[in-house]
This record gives sequence, structure tokens and C-alpha cells, in this order.
Amino acid sequence: MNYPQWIIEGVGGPGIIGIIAVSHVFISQFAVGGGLFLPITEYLARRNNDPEMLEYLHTHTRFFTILTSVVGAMFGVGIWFAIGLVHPDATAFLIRNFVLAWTIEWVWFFLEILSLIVYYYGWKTLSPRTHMMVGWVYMFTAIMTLVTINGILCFMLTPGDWIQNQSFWSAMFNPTYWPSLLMRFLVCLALAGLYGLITAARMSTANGLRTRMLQYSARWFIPTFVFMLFAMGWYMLMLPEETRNMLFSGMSGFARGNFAILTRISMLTILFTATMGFMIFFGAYANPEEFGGGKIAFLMISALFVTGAGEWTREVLRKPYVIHSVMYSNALLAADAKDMETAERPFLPRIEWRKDGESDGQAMFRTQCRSCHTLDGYRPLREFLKGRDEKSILSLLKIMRPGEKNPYRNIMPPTVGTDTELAMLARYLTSEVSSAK
Amino acid sequence: MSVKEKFQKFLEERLPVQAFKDLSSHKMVPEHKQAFWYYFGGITLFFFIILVFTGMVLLFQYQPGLESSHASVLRIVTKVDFGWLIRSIHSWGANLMLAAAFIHMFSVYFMKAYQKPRELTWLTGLGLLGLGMGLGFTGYSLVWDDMAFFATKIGIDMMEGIPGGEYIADIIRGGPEMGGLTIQRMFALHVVILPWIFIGLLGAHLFFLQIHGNKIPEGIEKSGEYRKVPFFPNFIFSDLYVWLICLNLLAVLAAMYPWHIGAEADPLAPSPKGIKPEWYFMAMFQLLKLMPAHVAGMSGELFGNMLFGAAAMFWAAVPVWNPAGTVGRRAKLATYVGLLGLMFIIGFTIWGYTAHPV
Amino acid sequence: MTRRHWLDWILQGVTGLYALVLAFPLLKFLQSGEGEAEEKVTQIKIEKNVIPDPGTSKIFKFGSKPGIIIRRPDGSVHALSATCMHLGCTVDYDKSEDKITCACHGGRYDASTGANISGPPPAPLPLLKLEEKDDGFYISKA
Repeated sequence: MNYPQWIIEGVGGPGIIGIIAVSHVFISQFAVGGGLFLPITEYLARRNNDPEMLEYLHTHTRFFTILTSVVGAMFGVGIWFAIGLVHPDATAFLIRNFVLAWTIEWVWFFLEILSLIVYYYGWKTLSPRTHMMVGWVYMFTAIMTLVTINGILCFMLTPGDWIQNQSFWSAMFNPTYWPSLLMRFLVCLALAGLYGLITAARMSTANGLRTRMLQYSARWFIPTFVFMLFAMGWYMLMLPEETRNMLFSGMSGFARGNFAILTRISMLTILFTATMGFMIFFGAYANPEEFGGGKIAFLMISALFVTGAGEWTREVLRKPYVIHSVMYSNALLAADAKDMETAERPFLPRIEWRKDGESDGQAMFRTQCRSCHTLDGYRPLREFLKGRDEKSILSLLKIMRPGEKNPYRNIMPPTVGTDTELAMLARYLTSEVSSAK
Repeated sequence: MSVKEKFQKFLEERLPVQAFKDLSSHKMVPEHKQAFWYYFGGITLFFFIILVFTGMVLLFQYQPGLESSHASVLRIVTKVDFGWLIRSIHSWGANLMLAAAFIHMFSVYFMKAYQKPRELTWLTGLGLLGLGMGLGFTGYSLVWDDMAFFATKIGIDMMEGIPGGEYIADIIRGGPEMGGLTIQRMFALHVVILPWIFIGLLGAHLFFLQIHGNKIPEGIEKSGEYRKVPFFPNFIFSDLYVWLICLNLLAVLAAMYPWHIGAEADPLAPSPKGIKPEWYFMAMFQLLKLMPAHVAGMSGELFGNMLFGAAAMFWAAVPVWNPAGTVGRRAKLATYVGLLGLMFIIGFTIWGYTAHPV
Repeated sequence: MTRRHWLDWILQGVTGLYALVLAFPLLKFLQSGEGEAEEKVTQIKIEKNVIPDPGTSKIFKFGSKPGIIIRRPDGSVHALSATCMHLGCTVDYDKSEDKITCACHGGRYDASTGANISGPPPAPLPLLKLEEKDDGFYISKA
């Protein structure tokens, strides 16, 4: 409410964040996995005195460096731009509370990139011993970036003791911190193996290097396959009970637009983890000769899908908050909403920034609905409110006021404002709905 | 000796295990730039297996009958735990199976895999496609919602247009009007009669394939740009890989886009707006709509059906009019006919959909 | 056991676990039944003329399960569950003996308290709560 806001039709603001963030995660978790893959593979190659494997690793490092340091980092900066513009209040909140963590994160990231560059460009010039050392430094710093950022990501879903004690360390090591770290770490290993397959498939078949490297990379998926189910179970156990129950709400019934989709997506996540395990086994490990472009493409699509599905599940579990129990997804503070359960308070004066020529109703709409809804695209209000007149829209808005009686309280942030203000919002929504094509 | 070894020994002493092992280790499959199309037969088979399995499971919850058909499907998708999922997998699986079967048929056609000695494989394959569409038609009616009711009605009425068709239509309908017996008979066809015939034909189809092996397109065979890979493990593992992709695709579709169910069928209500058949009947439906009331002294319906029947016969008879060994213009003719058929089906399907927006 | 052996063993076990998790929807689907009516019925009413004379009884539907109402020769009225505690057959009132009997395996119960007297039943029949009002008998769960 305090800052200018970027309004996006179609996919919507959260959609933009989602697309950029999933791309970033898909590459940056590979960067962390590669942190293990590169030095460990180099260590094995040097121990076994295997120049061919080193040659493979050199090729892989080139691909790795370009992808992670250029593309991955670009998407990372992209996230900052997107969240800052789409949801400035939540971004400001996270910056204020995690200044220390962001600083630490930045230091690790800087060291990570630095060591990677030295690792790649020093491939031929550094002594094996020094090069190996640089590799281990890269591994350590890469893992530390995950260790740091994981705390902030988990905090948004499970703030835990922070709500009472406001302690930075409680916020960092919140209830889902460890299971989430394990899950992400497993994903990193899997991605390291998957991208390893890409380079391996392009190796020469002449001396069996291709087969050897395909089977070697495929083995990187084993820990993920073995431990992922347990990690998911652990994660679920650490969630608050009502959040956990949401995961089972979709067992029966196929209605759209509710939590049922959560059940479906989490089931798909498990299915994909299993099928990818088999795809890697039947494709790369047991049948390396026939493993090629098309198969890799489907494997990567599956991996991208499951990454997106996992992140999406975590985000939706947080509904209706952006920071669980603290800030609603439309930047309304939970404490303020609580205060408004008993007393009616004007909302318009809280909107610090106004768009040029924005009416009061439109401003209410932008600050209270726009964070999640679009007019015609994702979660389209014109479609949802079709056929309702101003009176019925207003009564719907009033039903959604803070309090136990609000039937939407577990799905959407409450509506706030005086009767007059809600009437303005209702009038604005009515005009938008009636102007539909 | 471990339990596994003991069990293997037990089998070897009673069954020709070694013979099977030899067979599978010697079986080779061609691999070349068009070998991609070989997967579609396997994909069709995979979806069929899924359909048999989910179909059997659905029988535990579905209750055929005028009063209960729609109610029980509604109960499955709203009350039964994961009922929406199993039903969606069954519906999506059926559509994907037919899509894969069509692709399989056209790829086989263009590879000229119907030529001697593979004519029987071609004919059994066409029979399977027809049965698959029949299974789609009967299965669709079992939901007994408004769309299904009228689509079934139209489908059966169409049969009446063919000489002798009234007799068949009466048998399927169980009387002059659609009712409880129609559901019962559709149910019998869908879960027992057609599947058994399907499995029999499928067995023959796969047996013929095993005898003749995969056809290598002539041009590729002449140029020698192919290699042979072992059926086991190379080909079978690749097939499994593709099956896993199909499983993922099916799961995503079924979970994210659960199959729709309409309002209960009401014979007295007007046909729902935008009524249209399933996509695999669309081209035929659109063609029949174009027919005028009377053509050459017979009803337009009959003429359309005869036209379609003749085209189907011509298509099935391709091994006769384009036998192995034909060269030059005549050999190319078959390809042109195939392209024409493909364009007709795609074109009329698109036309059908644009003419019937949802 | 070699390391390789252990790994195979673990991988097979985990594969089984995935199969189990993915079979969960299927098992839930097969298990889902109807059986909702039982919970909903809390009270039913029976007209007085159903058991007009001493020594008469009537089996009635209570939810999805049978119950029995008995007017004994001494005139007292009792309502009990009519599902035999042995193997779930439906019991009946035997007027000549003034006992509740089960035809399946010859179990016998007291007609007032439901106590198991002889035969295989391991427990007494549960009593239902009976309220006699002017317009009929009101029966509910005890």
C-alpha cells in the first residue's frame, strides 16, 4: 500500500514472479548441485588417473559456467526486480527483517562466482592441487548460498517462533528449515546428474567414454530417488496442522479453483520423482546407446515441471498469506485485520501511493484484489463475478470482512474498509464486470 | 541356492524358458531416422493396458441403470476418494489411445507396412481401431449426461440409415426408444463383448508383428542407412522410457484437467447447445451434415454413409491396389491418397469444431 | 553382503515404497463406499399398533441396521439392536420361549436386557433407548 505497484494483466504479477523464479531455481539449484558434481568428479578422475573423464569434466565446466553464472544470475536479479515491483510491501518486509541474511547470501554468492571463474579459466594453468582446492571452495560457497536463502524462503510459510520473539535466528531456523534444506539439496544432486547427462550424451562413443559418463551421471540421481519420499514426509510433518490438512482436501471432488489442485500437484510431484528415476535407469543407465536428444528433452521437461510444481505447492500452501500469519497476500498486515474485526476503520488513507487519475474504488481494487486477481487472465474477476449486480458484489465483499464468520478466510485475505469504501469498490467492480466483452 | 535361483530352476524344468530367452536375445529391431514412428504402436498398447486396469477398477463404483448411471458417475467424481482421478485417467486414456492409434495407422500407411507379407497385420490393426472407436462410443454413453444421451442417440439413429441398420439399432437400443436397456446393452458391449474381441484381435496383431518384424521403409532399406539393435534390452527399454513419458503426460492431463460431467440426461429436454460428437467422430459427423436431404434418389444420410463406407473399404484394401513391388507413379499414388485422407480428416475435424463452438 | 548388494536392496525397497504411495489413491478409491445413512439417523418413531398384544414383536430399520421392538407377555416393551453379536445374522423374538433367538447358530438372548444366555454369542445385544409417548414409541441410540 505504501509503494507504487506494477499491475500485469494476463498471467498476472504472481505469474511473472513464478515464471522467473522457477527458471532461476531450475538453474541455481543446478549450480549448487554442480558445486558437488565438479570437484567430486574431478577428485575421482584424478584419483583414478583418468584423463578422459577430466576431458569430459572440462567440457561440462564450460557449459556449466555459462549457464549458471550468466543465465542463472540473470534470473536471480530478475526475481528482485519482479518482486520489488509486484509486491513491494512483502519485499520491503523481507529486506528489513533479513538484512543480515541477504548480506551473508551476497558474500557467499560473490565468492561462489569468483571461485567458479577461477575454476574454469584456471583449468589448464593452475596446478592440479590448487585447482582442486578452488573446486572445494566453490562447493562450499555454493552450498552456503542454499543454506542461507533456504531460511528466508521457509520463513514465509512457517515463521514459527519469530512471531513471538522476533529473533533473527528463530526466523532463519524455522520449523520447515531442515526438511526443506534436505529436499532442496536432493533436488540439487538430481539436477547436477541431469545436466551431467546432457554433456555426457555429447561425448564421443569411440572409447566408451560416453557410456561411462552417462552411467556415472545417472548415479547422481540415486540419493534423490532414495531419500526424497522421506524428505517430503518430514516436511509435511513440520507444517502446521491446518496447512497439512489442505494437502488432503482434494481427495474427493473435482471442483476447480480450490485447494483440490494442491492434492493433485503434490501427487504429481511424487509420481514424477519416481518416473524420472525409472527414466534415468531405463534411458541412461541400462540403455546408454539409445540415449539421445529426444529422451534428454523429455527428462529436462519433467524436471522443470516437477521443480515448478514443488515451488508452486509451497507457495499455495501459504494461502491466504504472503508471510504466514503476518502479512496477507495483498500486503494487509494480519495484526491490522485483527484490529478491524471489532472496529470499522477507513482504509483509503492507508494507500500512500496513488496512480494518476485513479478513483477511490480503483485504488481499493488495486491494493486489495490485484495482488492475486486479474480482470481477464489468471484468476479472472470478470469471469468470477459474471452475472452479479452491484448489490450482490457488495454483499459478497461484506461477507469477506475479517473475522471467524468469513467463509473465505482460509483462501483469501479479508476485505477491509468502511461501508462507504466497500461500496466504492463494489461500484468499480460492477463497472468492470459490465464492460466485459 | 537362493530362492530366486530355485524359482528359476523350477520354471526351467517345466517351461521352455531357454527358448524364450534365445528368441528375445536374437530378435533385432531396425533403427533409423524414421524409427520414431515405431513407438506409436507401443503407446497405443500402453494406453489400452491403462484403460483395462482403470476400467476394471471403475466397475467397483459404477452402477449401470436408468436411475443410477448418471448418479453413480456423479458420486464417483464428487464423493468417492480419488474417484475424479480414476475416471479422468480412464477418459483421458481413451482419447490418448485413439490419438496414438490414428498416428500409428497413418505412419504404418506411409511406410507402406501393409504390403506383403504384412496384410493381415494391417487388417487386424484396422479392426482394432474400429473396435477402439466402438469402445469410445459405448463408454461415452455410460455417463448418461445430456451430451452423452444425444450423442448416443444421433449415433444409433445414423445406423438406421444403413440398409439393415434398423435391426442393429433396435438390438443396441433394446426397443424403439433409448432407455434403461440401452444402458444395459451399451454396458455389456463396453465391458465384456468389445474388450474380449479387442484382446483376441490384439493377440493376433502382435503375433503377426512378431513373425514379420518392423517394416523398414523402402528408401531407407535401399540406401542402407539403418542399423539393427537388439530387441532386448535396447528397444524394450526405449519403449519403457516412452511409456513413462506417456504415463506422466496422462497423469498431468488427468490431474489438472479432470474430465467434465454434464447434467443428467433428460429425453424431453431440447438437445444441448453446441452438441457435437467426440473428436474422433467429428470428421464423419461434419461430412454427414453437408449432405443434402436427397442424393441420387436416396436419403442424404444413406449416401453419406455409403460414401464413408466405400472410402473405408478402399483404405482397408490398400494392400490390393498398391501391392509390394509397385514402382513409379502407381507407388506414389498410395502416398497421395494417404495425404488426401489425412487432410480430409484434419480439415473436416477443424471445420467441425469451428462450426460448433463450445 | 557387498556394498552393491545393499544398494540394490535399498533401491528395490524404495521403489516398492513409491509404488505404495502411488497406489494409495487406488486403495482409497476401492475402499470408498456408501454407508452414510447410518450416521444420520438418530431417532425413529414406531406406531403403537405395530405391537398391539403381549407376545408380539416387530423388526424395524434403524439407519442401515435392523432393530427389534418387543412387547413381552408381562406387557413391558423393549427395543434392542437386532444384529446378532455372533456373526451378524438378524435375530427374532421367539414367543413360545419369551427369548430372542438367532436362527443361524442357535444363539439366545434375554428379551428385556439383551443378555446372552446360551449358544455362541460372545456379548449381549445392545439396548436401544425407548421412550413411550402418547402417539407412539420413540427409539434412539442408547
